[in-house]
Amino acid sequence: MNLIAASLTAMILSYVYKENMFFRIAEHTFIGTSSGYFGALAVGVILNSGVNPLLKGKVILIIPIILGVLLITRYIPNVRWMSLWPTSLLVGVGTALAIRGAIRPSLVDQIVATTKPLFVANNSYDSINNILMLVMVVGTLSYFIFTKEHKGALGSVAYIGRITILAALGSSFGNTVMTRMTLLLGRVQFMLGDPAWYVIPVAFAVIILSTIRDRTK
Amino acid sequence: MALEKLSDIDRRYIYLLLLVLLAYPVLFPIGLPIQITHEARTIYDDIEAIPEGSLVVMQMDYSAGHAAELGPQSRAIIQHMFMKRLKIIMPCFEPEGPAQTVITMDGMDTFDAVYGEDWVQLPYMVGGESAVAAFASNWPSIVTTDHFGNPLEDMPIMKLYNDANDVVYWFAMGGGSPAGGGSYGPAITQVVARYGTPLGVGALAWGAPLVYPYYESGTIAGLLIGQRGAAEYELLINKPMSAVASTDSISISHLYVVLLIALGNVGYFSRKFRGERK
Repeated sequence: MNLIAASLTAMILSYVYKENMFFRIAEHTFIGTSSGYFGALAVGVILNSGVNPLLKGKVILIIPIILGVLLITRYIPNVRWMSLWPTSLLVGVGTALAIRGAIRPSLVDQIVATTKPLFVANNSYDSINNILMLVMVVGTLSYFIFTKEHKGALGSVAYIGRITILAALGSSFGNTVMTRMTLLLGRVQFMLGDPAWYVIPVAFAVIILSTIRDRTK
Repeated sequence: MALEKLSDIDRRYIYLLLLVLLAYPVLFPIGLPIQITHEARTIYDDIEAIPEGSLVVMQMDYSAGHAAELGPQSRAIIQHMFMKRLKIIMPCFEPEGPAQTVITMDGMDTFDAVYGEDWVQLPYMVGGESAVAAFASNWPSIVTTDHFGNPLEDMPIMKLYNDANDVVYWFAMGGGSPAGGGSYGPAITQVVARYGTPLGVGALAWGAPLVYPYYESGTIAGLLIGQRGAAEYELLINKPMSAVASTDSISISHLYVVLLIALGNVGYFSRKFRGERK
């Protein structure tokens, strides 16, 4: 199993050198396997959470099952309107759940966390942090005021907002680099393990042969 | 002219050197120091304070693409929970979560934890935020068997769980943003906001700027960020594993990226000063 995984990893990483047949084989294998996995998963979920409990006497489940089947009618032009019923239910319940839970942690708590005391006794570090947070939040919010031209005082505050947004983008980029490096490192660690490392010389041999063949063309 | 070529280095040499820089510390560890952050220590202290036999939830919502960062995190956290003899329920609201849980639990036999009594792995529950809300309030309405098809109603651990009020600590592993379904976002909105259960989060490094505001506001009790967070936790539980071994490679690769950015800028500005701005 590890050799198969290592081979597929090497085939995918070969794209770094150039587009090639081995990369495409691995890519198509991944797409096919993923489609099969998620298809089987979907069937399993429908059977385990819907059909099987229904057959065991949980009759109430007939309602969500019918609503689920109605979703498929969107592909039949004459009865497409029927799919609006379950869609409405999904949108309504989803929105209500999201709003109920989001107001406190994503709005109220965030406002409270932003309005901290600007000067903390005997702690200049916290004081600077709190002042920076206030200035940057106000600046960023001002940057998104579109009903007034960004000139004068508003222009200055909005400029601070712009700098803040750029700093946030830089932070996101740095963290994204960290995630990608870790992802690659995970594969490198795997490839250096036994028996996966056997694939490395084979991969290099294929790349060298491919290079020689290209140059002789 | 030589300076201008810095922004035109063949990408294949860049990738080759990157692979070498990542692989070298794996084969020959350097042992760069790792500082424990307040975010990781808070989780450790919170779990240390939980009485033996208490019920905790470990939400395993990550896919293969996130496993390099979240796999070591989840292994370290679960080991700590087993060391403290806590009872762990592991729900999954991400399709690949159950497969990743099986991989994570491989090799945990040393803790003598009994399946069904001390821990249980639940199957993928479809529905995102709605599923988390249903699981937190009335789990039999959404799941009846474990990942392996065994009925949950017979399991002693599930008899301890009625709703999220019974859970002493909820830990959510998750990729993506807090707003994404099948991640730690629904745990914030449906567990913390409704039940006030303390929530620890294991996040990808790229998601850090999105999740930090929740930590700063006190909504999240503790936070592990990327592989660095996993390494910190491995050190906290005194079990250095793969994450600690990886930090040298990560640090060196970051220095490499900084160097590349600097070189690219040198090339760009030298070209700009010659009036050949692209």
